[in-house]
This record gives sequence, C-alpha cells and structure tokens, in this order.
Amino acid sequence: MRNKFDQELENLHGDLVQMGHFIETTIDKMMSAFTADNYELAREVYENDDIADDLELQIERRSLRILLSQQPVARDLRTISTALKMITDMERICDLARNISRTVLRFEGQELIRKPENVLLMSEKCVIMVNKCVQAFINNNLNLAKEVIALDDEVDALYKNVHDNIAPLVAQNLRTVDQAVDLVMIAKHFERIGDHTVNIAEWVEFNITGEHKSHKLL
Amino acid sequence: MNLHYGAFHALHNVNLGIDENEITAFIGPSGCGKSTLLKSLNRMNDLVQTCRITGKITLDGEDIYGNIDVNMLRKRMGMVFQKPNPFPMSIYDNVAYGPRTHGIKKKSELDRIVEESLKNAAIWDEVKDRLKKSALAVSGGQQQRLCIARALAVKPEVLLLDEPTSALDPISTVKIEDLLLELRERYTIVIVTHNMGQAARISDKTAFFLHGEIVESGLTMDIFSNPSDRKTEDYITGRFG
Repeated sequence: MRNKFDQELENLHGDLVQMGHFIETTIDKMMSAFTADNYELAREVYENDDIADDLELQIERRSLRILLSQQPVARDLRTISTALKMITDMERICDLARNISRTVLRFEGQELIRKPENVLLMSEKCVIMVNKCVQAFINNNLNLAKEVIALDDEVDALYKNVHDNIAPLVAQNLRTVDQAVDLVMIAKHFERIGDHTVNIAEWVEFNITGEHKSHKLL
Repeated sequence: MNLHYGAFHALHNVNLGIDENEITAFIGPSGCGKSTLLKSLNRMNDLVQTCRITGKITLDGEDIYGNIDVNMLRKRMGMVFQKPNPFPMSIYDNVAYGPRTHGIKKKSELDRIVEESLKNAAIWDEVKDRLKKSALAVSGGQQQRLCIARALAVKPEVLLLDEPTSALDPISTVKIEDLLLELRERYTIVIVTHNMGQAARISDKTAFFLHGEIVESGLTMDIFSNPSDRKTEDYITGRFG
C-alpha cells in the first residue's frame, strides 16, 4: 500500500541518516583538530563544508517533492516537517565546525597558549550532544533527545565560565592576545553547536510525540 | 486537433504529445473536454453521430483516424471507465473475453492469459480461488482492477482511464494508484482525474484543460509547484472549478 510513498519516505530517512553521520564525523574531526592541534584535520573540515550544503539541498528537494506529491498527514507530515527543520540546524553545526577549524588553522606556526580546561570540556560535551541527537533521530529515541536538552545547561555554564575568566587568559602573554580571544570565540561556537543540537532534539521530540517544546503545533 | 459535437466546438486546437511509459493526467473542471479527448484517442467518439474531428491524432506516427482497423486500434489502446463495468459473467470469462474475440480458443492459452492479466492487475491472489464466480459478486475496487485486467488481457500498448477511482473508497483507490505506478513500466497510461492529489501522486505529466482548450501542460512537478498560467494555479489550488 502506497509503495511509492513509503519508498520516498525511506529515501528521505536515508538522506537524513547520511547527513547525521556526516555531522558526527565532522564534529569528531574538528574536536581532534582543536584539542590535538591537528591542522591537517582542521583543513579537511574547513574544506568539506560543501558536502553539508549539498546534503541539505538534497533533503529540501526530496521533502518538498513528497509534500507536493503525497500530501502527507499525521506521522508522515511530522516526519517531513522535522526533516525540513532539522537540516537547518545540522547545516549550521557544520558551519560552526568549519569556523572553529578556520580559527585552529590560524594558530598554525604560532606559540600556543594552554587551552582553558572548560573549553576542552565544552568540545567533549558538544561531540556527545551531536552523537546523541543524531542517534535520537535515527532510532526515534525520546530519552536520548531529552538527554541532549538537559546537557545544554552544562555547556552554557561552561561557556559563561570561559567568558567570565577571559582576563587571566589574555594576561598570560601579551603576544598571544589574539589567540586568547580566538579561544573565547571557539567557546562561543561550541555553545552555539550545543544550541543547535537542542533544536534538533526538540524536533525529534515533535516527530515522536507531536509536541514541540510542550506546545501542540498541529 | 479540433473536435465538434454538431455546432458545439468541444476541443479547440489541442496539441499535445503523450510519451510512452509515462502516466499523463488530464485535469480540469467538468465539461472542459478532458474525457472527450481521452475518448478520441481510441475513437470511442465514432459512436457519436454528430462528432467531427479535424486535425490529426497519431499513434507511433500513424493517423488513427486514417485507414486503420478500429478494432485493432482499441486493442492497442485499452480503456477503463469511471464506474467498474464487469460483464455479467464469471471473472475468468471477463478476462478471457477480449482474447477470445481476437481468436484465441485454446484453453491452456486462455488460462495463461487470464492468470497473467489478473496478476498484472494485482488481483490474482484475491480471486484465484473463485474464477468461475460472477464478476459482479466482488467489491467495487476489485471490479475495477478486474476491468483493468480485462483491458490488459488483449496486450494493449496504451491504457486510457477515465476517472478510474472516483467511485472507489480510499483503500481501493490506493491499490489502483499503486497498480498504475507498476504498470507504467510496461504501458503508456493516460488518466482523467478530478482528484488533484491523485494527479500529483502518480502522474509524470499533466495537462490542464479549460473550456475545451489545453491551458498548460508539462511535468506534473512543475505544474503543481509553479504553474505558468494563473488559471492553472487557481484551479489546482481549489479557487475555482
């Protein structure tokens, strides 16, 4: 029954899984690039941004074609709405990973200052949040989605701490002031990545329950 | 081509190509000429005495209103109507009717055609144990798939369907739509439908008719996402018609 429609939904799911795995890989590489000063990985992440853009476009096209041709309702409508909303956040996560990688590349050849522990912790948590939100979507797992939402407060607190303690970082060495500022910017990017994973988790929740941030949208 | 019923000019300067192994949908409000054109494609309008056609309709380059055998034309262009119209005979005899008319008498051959046609129409599993029962005893949706099997039994190249699901429930409609999507691999299909969703779901190309003219035709995705004519947009969005 509705073989073509089911096939189209399956293809859409496949595309989203592919994009989900791509952002997981991107975030992993970016984190290694940042924590281990691996400029080769940073360069790879920086140069691979087009892939996320292409996947986003492919999913947008597929979703709109399904909306147009199949007039989905109920669960099917939620799935396609979720896809259209999620991919914006997925693509933004890749953009932010690219921004971080670009900043890491600026450090190349410089005398490196010690990275604040809290920024490293933020990067670890962001990797976990990205993995969890992707898995929440792939497996329709509400608990994982809720875990992502809960983790965001920790990332926000870490960012506030980094921001509030910028002075000693700057004072370490006047020759590395730019690097200190860049590290705060990287922390800000991590904080934004956390926000985007929360958005994804909230759309996963909508897909499963029909409620978005405790509101009925339909 | 142009078509007149007496003094009434029913189709104006219709110029349309129908590609093979595709589903082409004719849409438009009642009385716009879409069924008239469909019937012209296998010369069903020959039965209307006042009907006069000028211009050409060709099948693989051959003028179907030229010097051809009309029975052979209708064998090549099968038709299924809005209301399921099985003959008052058994399921088997309904499907075997066409092949018998075309001279096939051998029982094993007829058995093979009946089974193959019913399978191709996705109804074999539902009726294989009651082939000798009356075709009128099965449900409306099954009757319509039986009519499609009957059309397929004479090995047509083109299937013409005039609102084939408008008398059916949603489940039967989905079955017919899935069937047409499968049949598209082997047949060229032209369907008249009032159901915009159906046209969007299953057709590759769409032609929008209004007052006997084709306002717009093209890829279904284009027509339904960004029609070039305002009248098309108003019709498919339900603003008139």
